[in-house]
Amino acid sequence: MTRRSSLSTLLLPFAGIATVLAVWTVLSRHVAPDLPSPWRTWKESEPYVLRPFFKDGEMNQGIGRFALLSLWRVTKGFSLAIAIGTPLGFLLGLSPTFRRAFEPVIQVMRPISPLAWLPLGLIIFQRSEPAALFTIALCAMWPTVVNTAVGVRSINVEYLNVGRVLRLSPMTMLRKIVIPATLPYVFTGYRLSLGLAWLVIVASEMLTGAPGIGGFLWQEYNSLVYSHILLSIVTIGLIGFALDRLMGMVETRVRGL
Amino acid sequence: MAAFLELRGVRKAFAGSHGATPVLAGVDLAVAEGELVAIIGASGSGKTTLVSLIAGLLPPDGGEIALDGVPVRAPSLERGVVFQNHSLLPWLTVLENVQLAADAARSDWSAAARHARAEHWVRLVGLTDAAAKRPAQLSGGMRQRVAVARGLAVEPRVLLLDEPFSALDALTRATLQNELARIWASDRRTMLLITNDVDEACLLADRIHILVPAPAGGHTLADGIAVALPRPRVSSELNRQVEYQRVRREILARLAEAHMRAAG
Ligand SMILES: Nc1ncnc2c1ncn2[C@@H]1O[C@H](COP(=O)(O)OP(=O)(O)O)[C@@H](O)[C@H]1O
Ligand SMILES: [Mg+2]
Repeated sequence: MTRRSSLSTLLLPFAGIATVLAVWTVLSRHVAPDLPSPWRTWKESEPYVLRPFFKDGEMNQGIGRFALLSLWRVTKGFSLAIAIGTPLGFLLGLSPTFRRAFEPVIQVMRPISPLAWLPLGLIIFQRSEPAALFTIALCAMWPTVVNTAVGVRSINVEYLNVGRVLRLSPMTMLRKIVIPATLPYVFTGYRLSLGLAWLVIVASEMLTGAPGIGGFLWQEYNSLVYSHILLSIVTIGLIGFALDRLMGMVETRVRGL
Repeated sequence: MAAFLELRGVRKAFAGSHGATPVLAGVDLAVAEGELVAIIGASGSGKTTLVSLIAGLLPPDGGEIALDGVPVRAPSLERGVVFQNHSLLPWLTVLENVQLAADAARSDWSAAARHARAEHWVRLVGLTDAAAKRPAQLSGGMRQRVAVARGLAVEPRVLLLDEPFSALDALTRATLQNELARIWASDRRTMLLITNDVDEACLLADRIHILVPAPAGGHTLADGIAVALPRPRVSSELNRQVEYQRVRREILARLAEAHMRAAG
């Protein structure tokens, strides 16, 4: 029984990948002639994948180099997002007044697309790099804000009562009770925020033309090298998956505490 | 003469689906300094509510609660609480949980002195070896010990214990009851012990009150029954003592009567 299940955990994902490749092949053969086949995609991407860290120019680099540039940008944007989002979430969760004042604003800002924020960032900062960070942070912080606030509001009353009968100062209450009790929610927020940040990076690089995986994708679209679009897409997916797994592991550790 | 801990006409109702449901309907209680008073009540009779009111976690709808003549308005370190479900903070170790209370009680002491103080309380409940463990790694009995240690570490003038041993198996419960008796005998701190166990009340208390249904809904405290048993009391020998049998009979009779009245 265990053999069968371990076999299927190995085989079924391969079956899934095979299906996608098959559909892709059919599409490129019969439906969209401009779409390169999987094989052609691989052949034309080979130098970028096998020499992931070469650099012949700002926009002609190995896929690993582009990925690192994007990851670095995401790291900065994500850090900004949680640096703003975490305290904001705690404020929302702790203060009913603050919540009543800002909840509506947040609900309205949350569904705004990165494509809408980016021009605003460019107007404010005049340069593409800070505009991209602004966009990533603004789009990615909401899960952190919302999860942190929910976490604060769902703290077990028993724990709060312990703090009250011990007459803990607000700072001690925050440090010893509120923050540790909220931490699992905060990290769930971080994981979702990181996922969003990675989603936004592509859009922001495409619009600003910044070097990175999204910028590369857009440039290759304009140069009609469609196979490299597919290379970028696969890379974006794989990295996003890896990031989610990584944060998932951190989250599990925090929850297990 | 005003008692040390005094409740007069304390009322509390909770908003329910059909208006306010009375829980406590005029509770009177007087506890002298150094006394250990037990309160027995069926589940849902308002025992935890009573503790929350005395602790200052809930405001009463009416009546007065005062400790040493000072009205209770909010929580204070003068009134320590051992909560029903131990309420240990799961992210802190045994020592850290107790330390939190020791720090609160002795905020004017040096960090080293406060640390030694917390270790003292952990030792008192016999958990020195488990001091670095987290609550999830402890047995139910050990968690209750930590909860008691944390309550003691506040060094309150009155310690409120809300069914501290109810969730334990009989053997562990007996051990902890004896330990509580020993701790109380050593410094005679005023304690209010909430319990649903008649034998526990007889073993530990100077006086026992029963929460009985009030005519207009909710519960109220009946007159106390003094327990004139010499200390130290040994649980295995209590059964043979005439006074024990008298107290036990009286409590059971009153509980049965309260039950009858509530039913009919
Ligand atoms: N915060 C609350 N809101 C509404 N009803 C409550 C609340 N706390 C307790 N009650 C109700 O009051 C009654 C007494 O509860 P409690 O004091 O916890 O009883 P006990 O500790 O004796 O089991 C119960 O019927 C309970 O449902
Ligand atoms: Mg209770």
